[in-house]
Amino acid sequence: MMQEFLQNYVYLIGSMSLIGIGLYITLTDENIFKIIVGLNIIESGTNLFMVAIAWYPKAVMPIYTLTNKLSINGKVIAADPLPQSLVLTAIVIGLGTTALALTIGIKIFEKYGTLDVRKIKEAGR
Amino acid sequence: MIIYIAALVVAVVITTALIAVFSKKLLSSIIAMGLVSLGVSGLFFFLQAPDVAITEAAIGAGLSTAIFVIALKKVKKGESEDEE
Amino acid sequence: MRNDTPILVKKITALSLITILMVGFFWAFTEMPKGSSVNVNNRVSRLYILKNVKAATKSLNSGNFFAKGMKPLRSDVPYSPITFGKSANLEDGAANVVTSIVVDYRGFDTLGEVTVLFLAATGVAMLFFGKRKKNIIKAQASLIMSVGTRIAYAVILLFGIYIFVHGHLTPGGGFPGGAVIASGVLGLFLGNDHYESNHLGLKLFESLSGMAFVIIGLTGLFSVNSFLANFLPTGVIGDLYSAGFIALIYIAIGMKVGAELSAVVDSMIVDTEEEWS
Repeated sequence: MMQEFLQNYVYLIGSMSLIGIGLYITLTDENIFKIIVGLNIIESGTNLFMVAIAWYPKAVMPIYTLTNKLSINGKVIAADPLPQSLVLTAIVIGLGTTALALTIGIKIFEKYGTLDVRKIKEAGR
Repeated sequence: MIIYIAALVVAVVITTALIAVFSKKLLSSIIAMGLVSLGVSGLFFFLQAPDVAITEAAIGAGLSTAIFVIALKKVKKGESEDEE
Repeated sequence: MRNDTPILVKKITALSLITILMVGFFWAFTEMPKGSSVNVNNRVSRLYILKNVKAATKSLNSGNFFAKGMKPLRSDVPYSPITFGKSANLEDGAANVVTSIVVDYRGFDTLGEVTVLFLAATGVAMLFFGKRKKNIIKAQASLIMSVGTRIAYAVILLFGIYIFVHGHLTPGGGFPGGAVIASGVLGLFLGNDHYESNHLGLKLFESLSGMAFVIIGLTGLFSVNSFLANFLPTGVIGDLYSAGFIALIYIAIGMKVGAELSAVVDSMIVDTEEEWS
């Protein structure tokens, strides 16, 4: 009973909580770096969600090895490899965009002397 | 059995993310973000995705945190020069 | 002119918005595939796992699916069982199914993502353009640290190369391999006070590996009539020399990602002084 509930929902709950926490940071915090931290947490949650909908109990990993057979009598028993491959590249893109965002943050700091969004807004007026 | 360990890891990840929200210092928030990535990479391993787990551990927990700390150091250097 | 909302109001608004969003998500969970009800046999991934995409395309083109009253899809497509170390001349010889999707079946997608990464790295380098000074970490690294990072760099480089050369057999591939190499370069920067990387060499290396990716794709276009098509024989599944062009492309991607992320680390860690603006 408990096990079935966990198998159905634990990863979904975890990913949605991460997305919610990241959204909370991006909406309320005023430091630019903190906002980028929030965006990174949202990204982790989304990746976890996409991999979680590829999994089911008793799935095996989608790699052929000597002892790991992916299909028995025409019935596939492996986890879904397609979302995994999408997430694999999305993580690397996430690092690139994070580096670009941080660079722009540093440039903003060099121009305005602060990382606070409100002060930057005031200085821009 | 392994689902209970996964539930524990999920709880730890959510707690670490909350630490990232509510900590006052930026550095501890960044370290907490790296720990979130590390926990998520462990969850990927439980979800039978070893490729994604390796990538997340190398990039999310390693390089991403390092780049954040470098950027923070650059900004902190400017702040201290202004104060002096 | 200051008319910002107070922080408390902002936080309460954000919390209520997120609560509404979360309620919507959890309500949607009743319609989504739960952990225990996912069936890969209904998904298109079945074709990727059993490596019979070409057979499916052929029977779809000939119209057999709908003419004979077959249920349109995947479980009717003929396949041959795959055993590790014995099956030969499959349409895609990679033992790692994720790799076969990333590089072979959806290789064009990967080319686009590599381009996005290239643009991000170029943007970082462009914003930090200027006269290069020393790196910002002044840790006064000791002798043990500076020698140790150099020895560790050799081992880390070897490990990264191992990861992307064996990308079609074991978990890993070009992207994590490149990231591992970049963390080795980061170690060099942290351990040696006066380390300077060859910036031009990194850029050149990266461009050449990107061109290698496109040239391999064009070779497929001119020899097999499709961009990024496999033009090499796929040997026995599980051998190191199997899977045709997948190993070549993953080597190119690994070198490109490694050089790119090293260039990003290099641009961010070295302090620059603007000469123009």
